[in-house]
Amino acid sequence: MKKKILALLAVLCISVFALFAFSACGNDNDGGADGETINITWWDLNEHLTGIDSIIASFESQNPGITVTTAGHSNETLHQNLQISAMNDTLPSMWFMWGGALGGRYVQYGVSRDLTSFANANNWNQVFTPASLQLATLHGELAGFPRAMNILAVYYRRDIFEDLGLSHPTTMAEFHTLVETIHAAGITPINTASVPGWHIMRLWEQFLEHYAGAVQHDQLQIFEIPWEGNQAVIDSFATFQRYAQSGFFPDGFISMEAGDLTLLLYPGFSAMQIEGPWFDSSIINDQQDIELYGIFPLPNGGTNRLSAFGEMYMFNDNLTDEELEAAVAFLHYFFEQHNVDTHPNLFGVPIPQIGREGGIPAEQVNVPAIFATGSVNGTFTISDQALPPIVVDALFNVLDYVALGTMTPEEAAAFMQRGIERHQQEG
Amino acid sequence: MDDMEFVGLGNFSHLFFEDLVFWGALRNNLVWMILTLVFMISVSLGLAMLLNAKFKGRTFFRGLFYFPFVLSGILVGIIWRWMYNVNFGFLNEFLSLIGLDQLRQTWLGDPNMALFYVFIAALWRGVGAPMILFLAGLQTIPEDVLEAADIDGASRFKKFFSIKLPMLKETFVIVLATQIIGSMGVFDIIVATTGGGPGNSTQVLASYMVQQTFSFANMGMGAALSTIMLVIMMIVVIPYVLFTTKER
Repeated sequence: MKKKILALLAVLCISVFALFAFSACGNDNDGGADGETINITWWDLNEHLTGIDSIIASFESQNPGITVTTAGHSNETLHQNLQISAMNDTLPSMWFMWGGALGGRYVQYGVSRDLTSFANANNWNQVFTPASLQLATLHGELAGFPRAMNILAVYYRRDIFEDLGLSHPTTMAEFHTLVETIHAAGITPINTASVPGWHIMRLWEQFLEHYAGAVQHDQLQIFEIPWEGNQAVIDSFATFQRYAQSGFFPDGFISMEAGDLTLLLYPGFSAMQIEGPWFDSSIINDQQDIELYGIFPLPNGGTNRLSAFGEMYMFNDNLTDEELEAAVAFLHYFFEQHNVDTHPNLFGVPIPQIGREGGIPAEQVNVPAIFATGSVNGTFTISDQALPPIVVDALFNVLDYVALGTMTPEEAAAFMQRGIERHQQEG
Repeated sequence: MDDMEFVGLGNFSHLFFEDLVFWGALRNNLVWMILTLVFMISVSLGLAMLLNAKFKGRTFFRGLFYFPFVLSGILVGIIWRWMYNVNFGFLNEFLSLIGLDQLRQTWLGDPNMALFYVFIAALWRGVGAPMILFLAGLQTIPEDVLEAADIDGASRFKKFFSIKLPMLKETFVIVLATQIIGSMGVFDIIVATTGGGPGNSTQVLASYMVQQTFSFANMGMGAALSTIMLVIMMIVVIPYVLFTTKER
């Protein structure tokens, strides 16, 4: 009996060892040339891949030597899976990514392809808008194929504003009054959630822009001036704390997920939500009446700059030149106008390519206004892309602590400074 | 990943002396362990005692109480997150329905209580596993020993403490070890219900490790947290292995 057990254990051990050993024999890259066929593996957000099978099938029929395989993820799992894959060198051929520090980490790891020479050889400066190429340039490298530019504004419920006799605020004081009026009417003024921290950050950074002004805000983002003791930073946290503790956010916002917020906005329980142009297509896809929603820039002072961020597709550094060309060829096909026309709510519009500024689906009524406002007012980079990950971690923690009242605004500013110093120490 | 820099024990030093979350996460792991040892074990033992009795439909009830354990922690977490939802959740809606509006809570939004509410979800899911082990242990107790105790006039209380509990010693060792190890590694249900919030009040070492590693690309910190978890686990696992091998 004892021998049998030992034999069984030995077989088990060998099996486990073999499993590990074979796992180490995996290919570096899921995509790749297999004889004459190039397989492009593509990771993206679930919502970016909905209903695109016909586009892929059409591309594959026109390009018999290329296949495209997709994998959809939620926002959080995309980050996590990419991090894991970057560590063990199993990244897909291309993946969706945001600009700033989020995409910059892959450049720093050395796992994404620098497209600078490819772009020069293919005249990308005549294809993409200068601003989109600028947002895709990270750590001195052209890090991706620009997908979209996003600018954030306040989406509001027109019916609620009409019922309460409200109009767009033009100063921060008017905005505070507006919020108080909506709250007094028994409606949650600001629809936001703290899980994860990036949604609630969108309001706080407006307060920072208001108190710091454009110049100082930009200086704070690149750490030219310290956060600790900075009155604008302290005031921004103080106002944020007042909002959090005055019932201006939904009940339980601190444990709510950002993805659940529309459950409060659509029935009219909440009045305003800071979102980008993609929100029009979300409203339409959710079969809500887009006419009920309007936008305005949060009046944060100066030119009332809006926060902005870029989106792109990054490529695996292990791709061969043929694979890279195939992947880029697919993306060019993917963004062709006939695909945008047949899938109007799938793409980030307008497509950031020269001459395509007007290609916004007619039903997305707020998108032109957002981009027109952004172009007149100017933009600043959204905080979770402007700041490095360690500082973003500190910021998300701080916003929770301040909202709960376990940290004063002064302590919050000091805590942010500790995060910045840690980032600077680690280079 | 070429630009890694050797920082010695810098990440451990940061965790122990500067990090605001680490000690809270470790404390939450210990609280979770205590809750597990007290409630998970007592409730599972109680259920096993009840379901060891002969009555019609006991197989159905055994399956019923074991069923949540076969569900994934993430799934259970999502179910309970919706139950606890402040605006649409079952609990608050039910309280309103029976006229107890004043008892409506923010549930997972309360940093002082959130961990306990998450634990209730974990208890609902996890109680089936130790229950089955206790049930198996109870069925190994010879009937004649219990009959002899009946003849001697032993009360139920006396039989439980003087016969059943001592004869469940080996089962207890297995249950205690697996529950302690499980409570140090608790992760999925916390991530699915609160994500470690609000304000890191439900953060545990495993969730903090994953957050640092994969959300904020802080690999060094994640590795340090993993190492600390490994050391803590070994403190439990080594005596357990020694004990079980010695008994054989």
